[in-house]
Amino acid sequence: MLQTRRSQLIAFTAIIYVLTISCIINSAIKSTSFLHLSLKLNQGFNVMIITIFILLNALLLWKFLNFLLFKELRLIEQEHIMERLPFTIINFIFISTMFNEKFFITMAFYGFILLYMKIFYWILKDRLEFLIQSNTNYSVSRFIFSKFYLNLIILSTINLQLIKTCIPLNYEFLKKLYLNSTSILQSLINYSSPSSTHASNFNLGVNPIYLMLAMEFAILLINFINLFLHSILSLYEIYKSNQYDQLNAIIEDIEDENDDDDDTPADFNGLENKFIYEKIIDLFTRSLMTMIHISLALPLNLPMIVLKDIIWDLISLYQNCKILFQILKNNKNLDSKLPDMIPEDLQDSDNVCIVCMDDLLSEEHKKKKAKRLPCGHFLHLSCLKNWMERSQTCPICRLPVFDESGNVKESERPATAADADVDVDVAAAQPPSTSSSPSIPHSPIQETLEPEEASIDNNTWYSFPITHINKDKSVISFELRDDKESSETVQLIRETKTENVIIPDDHIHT
Amino acid sequence: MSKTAQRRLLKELQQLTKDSPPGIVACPKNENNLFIWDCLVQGPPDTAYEGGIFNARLEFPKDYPLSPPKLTFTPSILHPNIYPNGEVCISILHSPGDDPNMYELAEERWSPVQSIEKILLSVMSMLSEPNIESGANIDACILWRDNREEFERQVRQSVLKSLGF
Repeated sequence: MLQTRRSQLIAFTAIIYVLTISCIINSAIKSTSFLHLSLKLNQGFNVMIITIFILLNALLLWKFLNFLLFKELRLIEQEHIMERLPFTIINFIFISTMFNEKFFITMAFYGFILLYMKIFYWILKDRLEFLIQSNTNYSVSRFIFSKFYLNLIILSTINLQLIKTCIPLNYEFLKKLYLNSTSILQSLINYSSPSSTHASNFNLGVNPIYLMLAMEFAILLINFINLFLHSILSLYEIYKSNQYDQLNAIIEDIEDENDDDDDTPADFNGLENKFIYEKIIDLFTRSLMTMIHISLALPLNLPMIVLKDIIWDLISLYQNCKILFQILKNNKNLDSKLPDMIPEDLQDSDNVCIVCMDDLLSEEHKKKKAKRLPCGHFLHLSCLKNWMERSQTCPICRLPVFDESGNVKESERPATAADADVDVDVAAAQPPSTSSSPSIPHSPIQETLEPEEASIDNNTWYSFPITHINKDKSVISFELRDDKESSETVQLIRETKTENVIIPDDHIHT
Repeated sequence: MSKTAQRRLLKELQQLTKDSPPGIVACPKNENNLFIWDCLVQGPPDTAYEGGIFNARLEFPKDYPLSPPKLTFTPSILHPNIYPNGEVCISILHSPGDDPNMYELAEERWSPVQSIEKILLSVMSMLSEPNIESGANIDACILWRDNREEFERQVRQSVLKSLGF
């Protein structure tokens, strides 16, 4: 498959090259001057061939650069590129429509560069994940001198240079930009006429098209910084865990000498709040992005396409803040708001924490507190904390642990079926008409309950808690309740011979 | 974090050696690194994969069991939910945060309740019942949907080949 595609590409490339050369030669022979030639090349069939030629070369150039920087792409990276590429291209085309068509060449040139940089950023991002996930026994130095950092540095430098070519990155310009933005902002607030804001455009001494491109590159640079910060974070984690391993090895040596059979000492929790740190990094870069978007969009008269980005920035900023705040608040509350596990709870559950698979309550693990979630499941506090950073739900049943306002949702203990068989319980909860014993008489139950309601709707059915079951399941006792809080006990007796279920009148106690 | 992961992996290994479900063998690749496991999965009976023994590699992240492991068949097998490079795409191996296909329910996603045993069992059920709505191998999806006979013939052939016939 891959082989045929490659040969197809090669054939296509060859054909396009031949066509382009023949086009140019053909036009050159027929035309009298250079101007004539370029005019001819911009007409009809020629322009199509040349466009394809340029696109093809761009693709080949990308393939070559990609090979230099990243070698083979993994499947997930290819998929990410394919997912994001159409949107990015369309977005850029929209942006380029804001400008005069005489800038077309500039726009197309920088557009391709921008696209390359963006694609490289996506790949780099995936590579970082891959690097962290795949090699668990990385040493810090090997991580630093990996290809990832080399690529990151190269791409960031190129990016910075690109920004510099677009706008002068010096104090004066930035000051001008700041003054400009504030003045526009003021005039916007005062509803002054648009003409005055328009005039201020030219104060900057930079073509708006370059301003726009600089903005795009600056955003990309921030993305690279984000990546860098993330990598530093994981680097720190690796460093810490390596340190811990060394420590552990020493302790183990000592233990070997003492011939101790104890478990490994002191739990290492890595970077316990890594998830939160990551969120903070994202928040920081996101707010930087918002600032750049706003400060560079104001001199451009707030075009729609940038406004969309700003709104998007603000929304995600808000969401990130909210999630971070919620996690921090809930994690603080975990200890105080959730009840501790008491030894009596062991009746209802196995003595195993589902996250670490250690005993929930035991003599050895006194320092690990176990907590009861509102849904009735039990976990260690530290295990729960780590999971809650990822998802705010119970890992076992996925019921939310906290409600919107951060309070513990109080729900009743689920039917734990401590003394009754589960299947009997289920059968009792089902409507009698579909349950396994079809001959349960309808009316007696409902008569004892509420005669008026029974007459209105014959289809109503009720489920009642089972209070007692005989060993051979021949007698089942129910507790009936009505609105007036008076309860009665009803017994169902199954006759072993006929399999009919009857309710003896004398068994109803009030 | 990595200590918790190692302990849990060790516990799972103990459990698997004590009573492992039929059709599944799994153990760490070497003693020093518990984060890479080698697994053998038996092709479920009454399917085209019947009789095959498939080798797979499980790679665990450092924060296991909070993040899901990655399962890769080596070599890859022809199946709608297995990427051509052998990576398995099932919903319980996706962490609750990311959703590559945007339609999976949160209930189907990874959670620490899952274990190696459960993963391998659901892979076995995936082998018998492909889910072509979230296809990973498009060619296999099309073949499975439009030409079941040819699909099964190719699978049987690869099974025989993998067994050395």
